[in-house]
Amino acid sequence: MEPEVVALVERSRGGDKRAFGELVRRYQGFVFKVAYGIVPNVQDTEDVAQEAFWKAYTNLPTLRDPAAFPTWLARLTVRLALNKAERAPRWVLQEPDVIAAAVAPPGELDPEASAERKDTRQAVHQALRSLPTYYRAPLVLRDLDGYSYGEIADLLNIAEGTVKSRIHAARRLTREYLKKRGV
Amino acid sequence: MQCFEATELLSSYLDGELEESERLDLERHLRICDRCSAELRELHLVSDQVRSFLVLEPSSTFVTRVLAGLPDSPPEDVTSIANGPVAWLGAFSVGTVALAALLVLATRVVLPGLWLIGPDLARAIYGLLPAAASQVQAGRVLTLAFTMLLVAGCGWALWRIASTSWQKEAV
Repeated sequence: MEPEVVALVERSRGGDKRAFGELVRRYQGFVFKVAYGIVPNVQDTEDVAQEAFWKAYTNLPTLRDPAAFPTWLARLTVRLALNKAERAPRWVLQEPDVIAAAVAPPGELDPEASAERKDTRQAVHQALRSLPTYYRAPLVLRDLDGYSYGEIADLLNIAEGTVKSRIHAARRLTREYLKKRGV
Repeated sequence: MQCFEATELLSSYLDGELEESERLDLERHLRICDRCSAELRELHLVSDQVRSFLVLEPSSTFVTRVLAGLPDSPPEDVTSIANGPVAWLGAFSVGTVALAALLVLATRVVLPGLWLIGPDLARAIYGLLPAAASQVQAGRVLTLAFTMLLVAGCGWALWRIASTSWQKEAV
């Protein structure tokens, strides 16, 4: 944990919005990654991310240890994303989702490779969207965010054994989905 | 190790979440089983694909929008006031006073009133209380019940205070 982040949290607690803006800049990618994995829909992800930062700011005085800010923010984001996912069990594919699935990540420049990767990318987005939230959430927390099974169990409030079986099932289902589409 | 046992462990192996003995057993199996090895490679590929392709970058205006939506005043510790020990003790005190008032009302007003209006009904109600043949005994039983409620309430309030503090520490 960088000491600078601790200082930014302390200043934000006192109402310094510039300091909080710096925290948002640093952690927005992380929050989007966590939220988009659980809520695979661009508009809902933006809503979750915005609400997570709003809640983080307004509840900063309850955070006793500023060094725990990233974990605390992840917890907030996961909780909000799961609530959002529960309210929208079936994801309707909208234009921003298609664009998001088609956009190459930074650094991918080869056009030929890009065309092929674009198909794979879209198929992966669809595969994850087809999974139930209780499978998708542990999978993305592991593969995208690198959390351990113990940490995922804690974040999702489920047993570690359940995390293990759900990640395995989610990978197998994703693999089957991609195989059927020739990816 | 059989294939059906091995396949269940593949994801955990991939994530480095197996016990040492399980890992060694599985690796022994993988050296002789092409099918399980192929499945491991496929699961590895899925994991890589999720990592590489599920990316959503925040828009360039996101920070500005977040900041515009924040309240003007500095954040206040409202939850500690709403959930803190003082709030719980306050709520408990109000609850205790209300309960005491209810018991006083029942023993001093309602039941004596019943003696006047319908002695038979009053006798029947007192008869329901164990070992309570008279108004005095009924009063003792009610006092005992009140004391027990008070003790249980204190225990519950202390437990709430302890668990609230513990949860905050955990964050």
